[in-house]
Amino acid sequence: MSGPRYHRTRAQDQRLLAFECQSCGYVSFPDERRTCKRCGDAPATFEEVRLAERGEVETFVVQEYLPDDIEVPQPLAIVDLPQADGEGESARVYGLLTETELDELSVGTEVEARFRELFDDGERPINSFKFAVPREVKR
Amino acid sequence: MVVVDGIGGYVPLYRIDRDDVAAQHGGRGRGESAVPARDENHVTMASEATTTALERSATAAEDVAAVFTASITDPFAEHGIAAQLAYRLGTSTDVRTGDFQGSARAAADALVTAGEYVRATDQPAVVAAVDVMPVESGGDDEATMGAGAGALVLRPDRDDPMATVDAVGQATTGFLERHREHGESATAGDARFERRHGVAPAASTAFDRAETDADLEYGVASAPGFRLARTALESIDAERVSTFNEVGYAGTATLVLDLCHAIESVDAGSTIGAVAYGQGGADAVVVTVGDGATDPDGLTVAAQLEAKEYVPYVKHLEYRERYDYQGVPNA
Repeated sequence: MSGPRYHRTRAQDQRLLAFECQSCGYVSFPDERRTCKRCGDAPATFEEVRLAERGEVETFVVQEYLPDDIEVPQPLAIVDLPQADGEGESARVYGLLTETELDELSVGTEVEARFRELFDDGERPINSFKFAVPREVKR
Repeated sequence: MVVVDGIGGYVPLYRIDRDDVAAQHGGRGRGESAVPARDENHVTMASEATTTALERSATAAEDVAAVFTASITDPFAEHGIAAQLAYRLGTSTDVRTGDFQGSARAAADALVTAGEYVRATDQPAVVAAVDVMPVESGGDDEATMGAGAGALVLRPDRDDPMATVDAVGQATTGFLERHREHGESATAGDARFERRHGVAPAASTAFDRAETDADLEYGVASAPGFRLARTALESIDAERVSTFNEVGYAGTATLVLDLCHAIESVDAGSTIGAVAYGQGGADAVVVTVGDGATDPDGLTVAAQLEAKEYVPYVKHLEYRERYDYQGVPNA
């Protein structure tokens, strides 16, 4: 029994652990796949890598119509996060934005990963990463 | 010897202007208080502070031997903060963890215990304190209840540490006036009585027992109100360093947050006396700031006090409450 997804992907969700294909260098996040999405190597050999907590917005959408208990507008971005050691390729990561005004956000904006409550399982908070413009921008 | 290898304070981005609270119920307000974002909780805020502390330290997460956390507002009876924080940081699974609660002295208990753990094992330990103070609309202390976190990395030695822990002392008097049920605002009792018979004797005794020859130049005090904190420092002739006017009372986290702020703000060689007053007594810690605290990496507490956004009154209430659902489906 593998348990719920938030348990299986704890290392990715809480430590930004990603998987680098040893054939082509593609970095998969959050899934560790049997087949490399880019080069098709199967079964692929993936090595664990840590992602940096700062990256760049590649694109984003702004969600305006959501259930009442979700604050809107709620931006959702695709962010390229480099590897923490500066080596290899970046990973492409989906993430919600938090504490970021729409006029602070554009393609190419530098954002930092912020450990936040993503959703809850009953009363229990499930924490993972969102993105925000760096706090120093707010000064 | 125990040195402070890394420090990190965390102040939420959002603030409520105390005048906006006064406008709802009458009276006047001065200063502001920190309000957590809707998606912040005790583990995420402790993570923010501890990540900064570890990044500034010479200690790798996998070498941390103990993680001790303190909170007086953790909403869970069974859940814990320390183990969740340890996993997030990437410590080894044989890390010792401990959650300190039940008194506003909890952060001092965690800090002193961590220091003793470092002495006993010669291994590094992390201390983190975090609180989100509950408020009641129209309550006496609504305007001054804040939120925040602070973290310290302690180890046996290091060249150019951020600070050294010189002495600790405690006074467990058993005195109890202010008290609070889970999730409720506090029953404060008689403030004058508490200052005279609770704070003053406990804090002065704790400082007396923290035996040091050093001249305490700066003082940090954790107590649930400006005047209570001022009373806690009356027995030492020191300049007070405080985030109270910008953050409010952040529960037991105030001790570590303000200590981080002080270490970041004063010159190397300065000596700081920190006191935590809470249910049952007071604890004092004396630290001397080292060269390693000069121009630290990352956002200082002072920078976070400047980087802020104000929220309206209704958000100040709403953001402190648990909510049912946010963001993405429960996959």
